[in-house]
Amino acid sequence: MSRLPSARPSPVRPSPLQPSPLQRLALRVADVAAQCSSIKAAGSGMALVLDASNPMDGDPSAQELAAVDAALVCIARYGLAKTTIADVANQARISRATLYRRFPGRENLFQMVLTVEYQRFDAYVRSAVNPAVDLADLLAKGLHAGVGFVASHQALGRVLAHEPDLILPFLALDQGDVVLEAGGQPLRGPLQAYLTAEDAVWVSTWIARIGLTYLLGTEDAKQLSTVEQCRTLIDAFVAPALTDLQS
Amino acid sequence: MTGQLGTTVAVLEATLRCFSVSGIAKTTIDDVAAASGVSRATIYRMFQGGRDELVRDAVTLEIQRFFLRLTSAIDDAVDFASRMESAVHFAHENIQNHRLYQTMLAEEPGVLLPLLTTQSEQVRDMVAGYLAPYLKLEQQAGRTLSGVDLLAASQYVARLTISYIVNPGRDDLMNPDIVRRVVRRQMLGGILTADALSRPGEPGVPPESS
Repeated sequence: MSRLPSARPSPVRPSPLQPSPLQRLALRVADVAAQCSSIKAAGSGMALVLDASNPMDGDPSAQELAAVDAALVCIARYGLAKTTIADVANQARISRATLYRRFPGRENLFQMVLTVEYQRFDAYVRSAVNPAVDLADLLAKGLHAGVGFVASHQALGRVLAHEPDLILPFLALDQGDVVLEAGGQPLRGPLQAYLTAEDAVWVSTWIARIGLTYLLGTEDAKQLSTVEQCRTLIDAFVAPALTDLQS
Repeated sequence: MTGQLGTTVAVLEATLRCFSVSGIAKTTIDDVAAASGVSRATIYRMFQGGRDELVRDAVTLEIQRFFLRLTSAIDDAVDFASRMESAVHFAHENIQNHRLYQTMLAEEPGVLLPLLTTQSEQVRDMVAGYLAPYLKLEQQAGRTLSGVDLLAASQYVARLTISYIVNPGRDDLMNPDIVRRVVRRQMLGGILTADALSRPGEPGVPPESS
């Protein structure tokens, strides 16, 4: 017997997460959330959104930004699978009708969330490395900013901790390059002050790879919580490998 | 092997056999008991976390064996940098053909991926422990940069090695030029001297043969 999907009953809400959800990642990562098809659509849309050669047409409107920020609050609180357009409308104090008109499906909203958040990541990292006094300084500041942005991202932390199936394919499967390339992208332009465009590509991806390995460890991100810690790592293992490449 | 450890390994091996026969999701403790000849009660006593712990330990054992095969495959490399190049190439090629790994990625990524990503400390310590003696040999031969912290260096190389095995990204690890860059710049550029990175050296003797 098939049943029509019914309106979601309003459940008892879990309490909001503690400030550092990434620390819970390893504990809960095997606790895989049940997926629904629209979530999968949102997941595969992530590759597109994160592809920096696929910029959004125009800047998001104030209302779209309000919806994105409300969605982030809801995702951090309830997770991706349980966040509905209605939740976001309530949180943003926008009428449901208005929100549904702009985002017919949740995947449209989630793609906007990804796009806006990626732009914020990009802007955050770029501003952190400007100014940089030399190549090592640029790499240390970039690594610190990128790791810091992700580690303190509550919505992402919630998804990683409770719905890892939505994220893990981007970390290890055939889509594994997406996160590495997207993570390194903000550094490519700035790096060209010191390196050829070709070298800037693999060096930026290398830094993103290092950052990612620290972000995935339970407590590892703490080892890169200051610029000085990042600088020590860069000075030890990255900068010496680049001395003959600097132009 | 006898005693508790031998029984544990026998159970884990039986678990891996069950995985390849029926898949991971469908393997039950009963299946493992039947395949290993060890009683359910004993299995539950050995793995107090139940099936989850059994699955995790079996997968960890298989990961350790993968690295053991890897280390024996690269024994003839002339020095550490060449050894690492062979290792990256071997690992990349063999992970594609590793049936259990591919089955797990497809069927139960939630079990495997945390071991290689979020819970990778155990695997990383194992790889770093393997690398450290080789780095020590390079240091004794005067082929490391001054002031290199060998412990931090072996952890760093292990970190990148696992990352590359799990996710090569856009780097084509079948291309020797790319592997050369990954190993001689990204992994070892801050550890070995320019001379050690560009010329083969003596300290390629595996420490286990001494």
